[in-house]
Amino acid sequence: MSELVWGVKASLRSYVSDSEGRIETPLHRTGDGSFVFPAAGDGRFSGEVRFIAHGGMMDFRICDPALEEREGNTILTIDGDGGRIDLATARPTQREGRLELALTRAGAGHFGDFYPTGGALDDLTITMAAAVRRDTIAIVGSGPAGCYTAQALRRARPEAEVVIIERLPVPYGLVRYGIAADHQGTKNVTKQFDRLFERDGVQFVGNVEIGRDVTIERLRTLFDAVVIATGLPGDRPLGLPGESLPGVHGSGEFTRHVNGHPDDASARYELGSDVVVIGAGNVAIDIVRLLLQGVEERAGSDIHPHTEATTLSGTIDRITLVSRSPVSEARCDAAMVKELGRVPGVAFVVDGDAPEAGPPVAQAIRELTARPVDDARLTVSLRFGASPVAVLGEASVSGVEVSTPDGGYTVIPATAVITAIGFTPATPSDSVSADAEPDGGLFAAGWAHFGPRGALPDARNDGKRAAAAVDSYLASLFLAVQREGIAALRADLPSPAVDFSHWRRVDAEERAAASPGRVRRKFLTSEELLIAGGYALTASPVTERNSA
Amino acid sequence: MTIRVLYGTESGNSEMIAEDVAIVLEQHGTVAVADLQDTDPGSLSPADLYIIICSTYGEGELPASAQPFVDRLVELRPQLDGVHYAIFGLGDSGYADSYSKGSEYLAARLDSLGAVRVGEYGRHDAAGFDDASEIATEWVRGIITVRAAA
Repeated sequence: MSELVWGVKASLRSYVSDSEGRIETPLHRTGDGSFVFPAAGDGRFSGEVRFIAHGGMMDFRICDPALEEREGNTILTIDGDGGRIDLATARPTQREGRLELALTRAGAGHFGDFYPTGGALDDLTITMAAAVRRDTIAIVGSGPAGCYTAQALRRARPEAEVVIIERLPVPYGLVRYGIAADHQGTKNVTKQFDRLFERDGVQFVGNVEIGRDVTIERLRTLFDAVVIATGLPGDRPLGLPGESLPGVHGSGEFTRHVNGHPDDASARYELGSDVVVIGAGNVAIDIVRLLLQGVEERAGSDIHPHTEATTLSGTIDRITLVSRSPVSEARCDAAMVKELGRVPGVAFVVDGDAPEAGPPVAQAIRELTARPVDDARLTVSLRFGASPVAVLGEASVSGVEVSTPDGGYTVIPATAVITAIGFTPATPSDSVSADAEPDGGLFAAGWAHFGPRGALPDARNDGKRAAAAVDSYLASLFLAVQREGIAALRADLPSPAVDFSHWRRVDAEERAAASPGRVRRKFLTSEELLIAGGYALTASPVTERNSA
Repeated sequence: MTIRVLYGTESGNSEMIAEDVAIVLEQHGTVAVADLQDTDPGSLSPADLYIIICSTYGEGELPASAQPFVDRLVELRPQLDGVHYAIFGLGDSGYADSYSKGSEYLAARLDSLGAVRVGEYGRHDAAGFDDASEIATEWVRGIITVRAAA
C-alpha cells in the first residue's frame, strides 16, 4: 500500500504555531511534521488537514489529495467546497517518488492569496510500501543495439520486465546476419548477450513481427517503454540511371544472402567474371574479401556450402572497387585492408588516384600493390577518386561509367555490381530519428536512432544512451497504472512466440550439422529455423512435405 | 588489500571477463571492479593488487575506455614503485601485426613508471575457439597462486 507524505508548507506550519493557531488532523505525522495520507487507489489519497489561526479567521483545508496526469503534466488536486481544486503542478525531482510543487492560480486563491501563483509548496513524496509497480520495457530487434540496450537497462533496473521482440525465430540480427561469416571472433560478442537471456532474466520473444503479429500502438499500451532497435535494412540507392538493371545488388541484401538470412538466402546470384563493388567502407571491404577468398580462407567460417557453390564459386577474374573519395579519405580501416593482403593468389592494382603518403589506410593500400604475386587467380583493381555516373547494360548490367580525377570518363566492364554506399530504412517504421525526443515512452537505439555508421562499440554506446533515457523516463512513471507487459502480449499473438531455449536448440543443431571446415551450417528459412528448435508448425507446406 | 579488477573495453567483452574474474577473486579477498576510464592513475597503490583486462582495437590501439586512463598516466607520470599488477590481453591473431597490442602498450606504460607485473601475461585470441572467460578465470587462479607463493 502506498502513501503520500507531505508537509504542505513548512512556513505555513510555523506561522500557525507562532500565531498560536492549531493544526487539526487525524493523520499520522512523521518526525519532520509531514502528514501521511494513505492511498485510496488510482493516485488518490485520503485524509484531511486544517490549518487554523486568528480565531478561525484563517482556515485552510487540505482534503483528500490526488495526483492526476493531464496532457503530460501531473496536477495535485484537493477536495474543495465546490468540487475538486487544482492546487499545484507537480514535477518529478532527482529522487524517485519525490515531486516538487508549484501553486496554480486556483491554488494560490485557496490559500487566500497568502502565496503567489507559481510559489513553491513543500515537496511531497510517494512511498511504495508493498506491491511495487513493475516497469515493463519492450525492445524491438535483437541485434547489437537491442541487446546492448537491454544490458544497460538490466543494470539500471534489475527488477524491470525487459523483453526483446524479434521478427525472426533466432536472435542477434547483424551479429548473425551482418558481421562477415569469416569474422567469427567478432561474433563472439553473443556470449555477452547470451547472459541476458540465460542469467539476467531478459526474455527473448522471437518469431513476432511488428505489423504482422502486433502493432507498435498495442506494444505501447502493453509496455511502459518501447525501444525501436530494428536497424536499417534497406540499401541506399545510387540514384543513377541503370541501377535497377539485373545484376546490380545492394550490399545489405548480398551480405544477408552470404550470411544465410531467411529473407535473402534463396536468392540467386550470377556474378560472372567482372564484379564492381561501389563504395570503400568496411562493408565494401568485407564483400571484396569474401569474393576473393579461396576455399582455404573460408575455413572456420559459417558460410553455407550452397551459398559458396552458387555465389562464391570462383568465376571471378577481376574485382573493381570504385570509390568516389580519394584514397586519403577512404573510410575503411587499415586493418581490414591488410586482411585483404593476406589472401594468396590475388594481385592488387590501384588505378587512378594512386596513394603517395597519408593515413594508415592509404599506406595499407600501397602495401597491397607492392606485394609480388605469381600466377594470380584474380585481380583486384582499386579505383579511388572515381565517381560512378551511370550503370550501363541492356538486359542486364554490362558496365559502370565513372568520372575520373582528370575530368574524363571511363567504363568499367561489369558482369555484376554490388553497391556498398550505406543503408536506409526499408519501411517507414525503420525510420531514423536521431533528434527525436522520447515521445510518450517511445525510444530508438542503434542505427534506427543515429543512422548507418559504426560497429559494435557504437551500438554499445548508443544502447547505454537509450537505456539512460528510458531509465529517467521510467522514474517519472511511478504514479502510472501498472502495464500488462509480456503476459498480455503473448495472449494477443496469433501464433506462439519462440523463446531463448528454442534458439539454444537451433544453435546446437546448426553446429552439429557443420560441414568440414565450417563452424555451423545455418538453416536458411524461417520454417526450418522453427522446426529445428522443435516448434510445431501447423498446416505449413513443410509439415505436409514431412508427412508425405 | 583490495584486489582491483580494471577493464578497458569497446564492445563490452573485457567488462564481461572482468566480472567473471572478480567472481573467482572474491574467494580470495575484497574485490572491486572498475572501468579504466573511471580510474585515476594517481590512485594506484602498492597496498592493492591490480588485475587488468584489456582488449585491442583497430591498428593495435587501446580500446576507448582505456585511452583516457593511459592519457592521464602519461601526463601525470605517477610514481608506481611497488604497485603490483597482472594483465590479460584480448586480441585477434587474424590481425597479425596488431594482435593484443593494446594491452601491451598499457603494460609498457605501467612498467616504465615502476609498476611490477606479476604472474603470466594472460592472453585470449578471438581467432581461436577458446572461451575467453574460461581462459581468463583459469589465468587469474594462476595469478593468485603466484601471489600466495610470493
